[in-house]
Amino acid sequence: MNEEEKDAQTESAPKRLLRSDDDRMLAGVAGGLADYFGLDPIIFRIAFGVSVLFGGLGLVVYLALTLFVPLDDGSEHPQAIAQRSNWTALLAIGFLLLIAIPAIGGGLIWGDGPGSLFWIAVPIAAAVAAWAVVRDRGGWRGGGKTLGAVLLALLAATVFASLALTAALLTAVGEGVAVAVGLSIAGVLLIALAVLGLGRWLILPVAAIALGASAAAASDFDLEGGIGERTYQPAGFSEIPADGYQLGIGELVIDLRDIEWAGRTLELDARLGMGEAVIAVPERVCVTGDAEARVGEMAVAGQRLEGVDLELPDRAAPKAGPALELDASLDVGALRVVNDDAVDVLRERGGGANSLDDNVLRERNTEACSR
Amino acid sequence: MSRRSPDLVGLAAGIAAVALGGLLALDRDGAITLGAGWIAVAACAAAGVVLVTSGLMDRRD
Repeated sequence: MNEEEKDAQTESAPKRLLRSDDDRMLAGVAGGLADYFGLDPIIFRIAFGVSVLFGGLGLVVYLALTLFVPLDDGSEHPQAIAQRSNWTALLAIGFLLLIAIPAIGGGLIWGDGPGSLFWIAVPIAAAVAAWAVVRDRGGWRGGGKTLGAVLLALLAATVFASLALTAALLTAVGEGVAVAVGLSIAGVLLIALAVLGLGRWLILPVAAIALGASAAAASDFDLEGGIGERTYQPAGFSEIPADGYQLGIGELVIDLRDIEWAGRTLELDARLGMGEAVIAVPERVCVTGDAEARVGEMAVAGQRLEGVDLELPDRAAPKAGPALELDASLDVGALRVVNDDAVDVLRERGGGANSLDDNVLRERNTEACSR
Repeated sequence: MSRRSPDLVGLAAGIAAVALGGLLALDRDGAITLGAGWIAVAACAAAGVVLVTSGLMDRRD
């Protein structure tokens, strides 16, 4: 098609959404949308930037538009297929990885199995997108340098994700002040370099730290208490710490079946940031109290809840007889309280507790609490 | 010797980082209580300042 035919087609055809070739910061999506809707591109840039902070939806939308909306060839026509086929295919792979792997795994971020590959899919998709942008801008056109460009983009994406994750974890384990002060110091360094006209590259690592620290502070995840596998089997009430048991990330098993309960009521605090907690009590002990979880699964003496912002209704303690008055909280993961004398909660790190029949546990607890 | 002109985008990002870091430090220390909503607003404002500056610089160029 020659230029005259293109111009004639442009005049008769409705305006087509294209990624902008001359008004672009990354892939030209915001510039293209602004041109299409007749608005300022800043509006779309801010909207994308803000939406990324809320669950990453903006990132997915941006990648989708980068993939499916062709680039303007400079004359308000889509770039020829031959020019975009290579990177489009790679970008498609990255995008499909981003979408498909979490879907197959059944869990977006914290799911078991393939779902946990989300964190691998994200940097891969980001790296492919970054590489596509670099190619659009005219760099690394040589075929022999393509692999190097992809690896460099992958490295940059990995560093960004690692910095954000590290800042989030440090904030969550109680080092939020240090991370925030570090962010301010990095900001001062950025200002000093900017005055000299240098250091724009520093914006990305600073943004990664800010993103991780802000997300962890906003979600208020409490990962204090360390990381690892902890098992407690107190032989008596005196061995139970007054402030209860606490773990940041990992598996927490509290086996209270060796205690001589008699008719006593035990008030127990148990806090877990992320992971699995199993609390085992004898069958004749009534399980009462509060249990709450932000995201995950709770099964307390046969009462099972799954989802977000879980809270088990408090149950009145029995007038007589042994009772566990629980005050348990979990940020992300699973909390199981089993009233069973036989189950081996130490085998498979508490996995045996999940094989019990909820109905049996619930009826058993109702009977124990009605004494 | 030629002298580079200041990078306004970097300057805006630095100021935003200092401000956000200060707020987060006060929040984590317990001096103020921001809560999820205000932290999100502060983070969005910081990102917005950088994006607006960048957009304006691109237009000026």
